[in-house]
Amino acid sequence: MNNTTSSIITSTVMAASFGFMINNASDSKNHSTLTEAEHHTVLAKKTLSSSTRFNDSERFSLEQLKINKRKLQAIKNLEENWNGYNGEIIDKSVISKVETLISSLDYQPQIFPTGRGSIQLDAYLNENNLVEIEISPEINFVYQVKNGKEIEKEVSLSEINDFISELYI
Amino acid sequence: MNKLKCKYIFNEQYNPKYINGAHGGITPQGEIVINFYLERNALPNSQTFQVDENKTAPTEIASEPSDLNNSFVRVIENGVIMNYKSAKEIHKWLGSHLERLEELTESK
Repeated sequence: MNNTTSSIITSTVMAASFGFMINNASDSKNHSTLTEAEHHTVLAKKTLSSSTRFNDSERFSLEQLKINKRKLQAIKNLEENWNGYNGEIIDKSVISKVETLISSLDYQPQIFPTGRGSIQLDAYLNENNLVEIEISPEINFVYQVKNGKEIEKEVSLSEINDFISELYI
Repeated sequence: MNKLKCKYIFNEQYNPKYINGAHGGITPQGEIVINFYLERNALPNSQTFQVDENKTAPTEIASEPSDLNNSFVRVIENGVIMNYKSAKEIHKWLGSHLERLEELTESK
């Protein structure tokens, strides 16, 4: 590989590391009317980020994901009365649900089996900001404390990422 | 309020390329490698035409290489290597822009 190619690749990797830029909508100030492409850019800039986020060591941690996947493997092997208090076996459907879910999360929670045969996901910042999510075969239930205010509700799997990520934003 | 300014430094030869595909996967170091390519029909090195006196258009009688009609090319000018974390960030970033683009397309 020659130096030119190498430097192009290096600069591309740098761009990938620190964020991608989209066309600057301010260019459209030079025109009296917006073209279709510019219109799209302006609309897109309202809600979307023009670059990737700053590096956050907690976000998308492969190590934390690996730990949680190992925990799930261990949970699979739990037998009846695993906690000495008639703890139920964790249904395979719950394990598979959580396995799929954690791969899609920005931040990895702590994972625990419960005696009711469900799996609990915990994300904790402090007493006033925390999330506990219980995943059962039929229902997903969230208990959130946000700035001291409590919320309890049933949630879909697709909403869970937002509940956890909200803690870190 | 604290402010942070991020400056972008461009290589002199910086010029975004049009691509229509990617080749790559996971490296032995556990990173993601993507080589971007432009896929297009292969072009001949040479073509030979026969010109008949009675016809106005010349007829192609040979071309090099001979397997040209069964070939296509992927031109690679650039590639990237990134770790898991950056790949996830870019995956998410790209996904959110795609969602928005789809919304805009639907609303038209």
